[in-house]
Amino acid sequence: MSTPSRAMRNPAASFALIGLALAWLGLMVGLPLAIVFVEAFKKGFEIAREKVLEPDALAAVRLTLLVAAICVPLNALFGLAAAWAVTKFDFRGKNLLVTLIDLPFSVSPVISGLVWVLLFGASGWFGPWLRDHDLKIVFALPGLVLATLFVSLPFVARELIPLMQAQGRDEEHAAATLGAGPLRTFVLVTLPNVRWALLYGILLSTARAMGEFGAVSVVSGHIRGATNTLPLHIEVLYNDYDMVGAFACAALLASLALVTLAAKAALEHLHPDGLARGAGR
Amino acid sequence: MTEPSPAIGAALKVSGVVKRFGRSAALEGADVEVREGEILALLGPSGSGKTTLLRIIAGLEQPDAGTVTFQGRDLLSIPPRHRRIGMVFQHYALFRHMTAAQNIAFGLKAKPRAERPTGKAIAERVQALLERVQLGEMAKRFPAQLSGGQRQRVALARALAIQPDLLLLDEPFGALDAKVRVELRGWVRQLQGELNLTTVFVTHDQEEALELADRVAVMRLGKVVQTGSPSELYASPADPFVFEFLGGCVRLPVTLTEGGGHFGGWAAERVGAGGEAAGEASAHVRPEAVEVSREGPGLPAVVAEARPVGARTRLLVRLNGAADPVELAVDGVSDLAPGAPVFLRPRRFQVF
Repeated sequence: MSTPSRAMRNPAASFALIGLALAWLGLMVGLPLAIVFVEAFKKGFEIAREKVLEPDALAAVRLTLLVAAICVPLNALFGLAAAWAVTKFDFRGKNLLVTLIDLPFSVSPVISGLVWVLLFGASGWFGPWLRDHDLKIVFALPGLVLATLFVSLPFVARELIPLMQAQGRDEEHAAATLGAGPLRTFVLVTLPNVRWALLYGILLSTARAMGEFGAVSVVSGHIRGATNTLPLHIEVLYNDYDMVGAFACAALLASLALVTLAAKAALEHLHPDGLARGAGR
Repeated sequence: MTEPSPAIGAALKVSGVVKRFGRSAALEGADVEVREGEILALLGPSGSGKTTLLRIIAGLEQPDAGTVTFQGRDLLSIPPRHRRIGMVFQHYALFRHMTAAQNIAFGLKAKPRAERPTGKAIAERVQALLERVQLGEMAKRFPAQLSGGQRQRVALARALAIQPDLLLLDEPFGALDAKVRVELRGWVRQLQGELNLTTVFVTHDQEEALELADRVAVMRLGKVVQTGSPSELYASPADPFVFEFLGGCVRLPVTLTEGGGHFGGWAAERVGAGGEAAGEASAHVRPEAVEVSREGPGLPAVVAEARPVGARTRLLVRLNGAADPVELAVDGVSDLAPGAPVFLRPRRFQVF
C-alpha cells in the first residue's frame, strides 16, 4: 500500500476534504435526483402512477426496452469479439481498431444520430432506394436501434480489453498445448475468465442504451406512442408543460438507472478480482 | 562451435532457427539436438533467446527460418494442439477458474471423442496424477488457494496428463523461493527418470542447469554457443563467455610455454584448444583450481581481505601492480590476515 498522504494523517484536513467532496456530489447529483422524485410525487402517488401508465408512456417504455434488448446483446457480442481479437492476437490495424472502438465516446451523440439521417433519411444517400422498396429506417425502429448501437458500442469492449490484457495469453497457450481447439479454448478458458467483466460491461451498455437522448432524438421523429423512447417522451411532456407527467416518467427512467447502478455496485463488491480494476494483483 | 552431431538417438533436432520480433532478432540461427530420454537445459542470460526457442518447439511462435523435427517428423507443420508436447509455463498458466483436478483433466477431456477416456477413467487418471505430484488432498483447491510450489506441481501434472512425447519447462523454478526450488529440482529429476521422458527446460541459473540436466546448451545472443554434459562444459568451455557463465572465473597473467605455461615459475596444465601458443597472455582460471600458498613459486600477491563463509574462507588478494583484487576461496578457516604476502598456484588454466 502507498504511504498515507499528509491529508490522511491530519483528521481535520481529511474531514474537510471528504465533506467538500460529499457536499459537491450532493449538490450536483443527489439534489437533482431528489428533485425528480419530489416533483413526480408532488400531486400524490396515484397521479404519478396514472401518468406512467398512460398509453403513450407505456409505449415509450416498451420501445426503450425493445431498443435496449436489441442493442445490448449485439454490443456484448461485438465487444467480446473485438476484445478477444485485440488482446489474444497480433495483426495489422490493431491500433486502428482500438481507436475506432473509442470513437463513439469522443463524437457528439447528435452527430451519431445525424449520420444515419444523412445515410438513410428521405434525402440521404440511400433515401430514394429505401423509398422505392418501401423500407423505413429513419423515424422508425431500425434508426433508433442504429443510433443506440453506435453510442453504446464501446462499453463492453472497453471493460474487457484491460482485463484480458492483464490476464495475458498464457492460459490460451496452455490450452492449445493440451490439445484444445480454438472454440473449446474460448468457451472453457477465455470466457469464464472474463464473465464478471462482461456482465459489468453489459450493465454499463444497458444504462447508456436506455438513457440515450441526443442520437435517438435526431432519428426518432418524435411520433408519440410510436417512435418516442422514454427520454424523448419525457422531453415531449416537459415541452407540453405536463410537469408531473415529465417528472413521473423521469423518476421511472432514473429508477431503471438506479437498479443498473445497484447491480453494478453489487458486482464490484462480490467479484473485485473478475473486473479490470482487480486484475492487477 | 557446437559439438559434433550425436548421430544416435537425437529425438528433437532444431537447426538454423531464426526469429525476429520487429527489428530485433531473438534467434539468429540456433541449432540444438536433444537425445531420447534426456534432460537438456537451455542455459543463457536474459535476452539470449532461450524462451523463444522453447516456445517455437511448443508451437506458440513460428520461426522465420530453420527447421524443427521430432523423431524425424517436421514439427513446424503441426499445429501446437497436435504436437503432443507437454509444456509447463513460467508462471504456470493454470486455468484460474478451475480446480487443481479440473486443470489436470482439461487435456484428457479435450481429446477427440475416439481417443477420449471415459469420465470414470479420467477421474482415476487425475487422482493418480495428483498422488504422483503429492497433491492428493488438494484436488478441489483453486490455483489462488495453492502455494507456488503446489501450483508448479499441478502445472506439471496437467502437462503429464496428456502423456506427451516431449516435456518443455520454461524457467520451472524461477518463481519459487530457494528452499522449495532445491526440493522440487530433485523431485523433478526423479520423476523424469521414472518416466524416461525427453525433457527440455529453460533456465538462466547455471547451478540449476548443471544439477538437473544431462546435457546443457549454452545460449548467447540468439545462438547456441556450446552443447555438452555439465562436466564437459565446466572443464573445457569453448569460449570466454561459456567459461565465465558456468562458474567462477579469475584472470591471471601467464607465461605460455610449449604444452603448458607458468605463473611466476609455478608450472600449470593448460586445457582446451585455441589461443596463443607462446608468450605472455591472460589466463582464465577457476577460483577453486587456485592454491594459495605462503611460499613461492607462484604469482606473488597480498591478501586484501579474508572473510570466513561457512566452511570456507573467502579471500580477496591483490596481485602486485594490479588495480582490482581477485576473489578466491580456500577450504577451512584461514589464518591469513590482510597484508599477508601469498603466492597463487593455479593447477589448470585456459587461454582463448
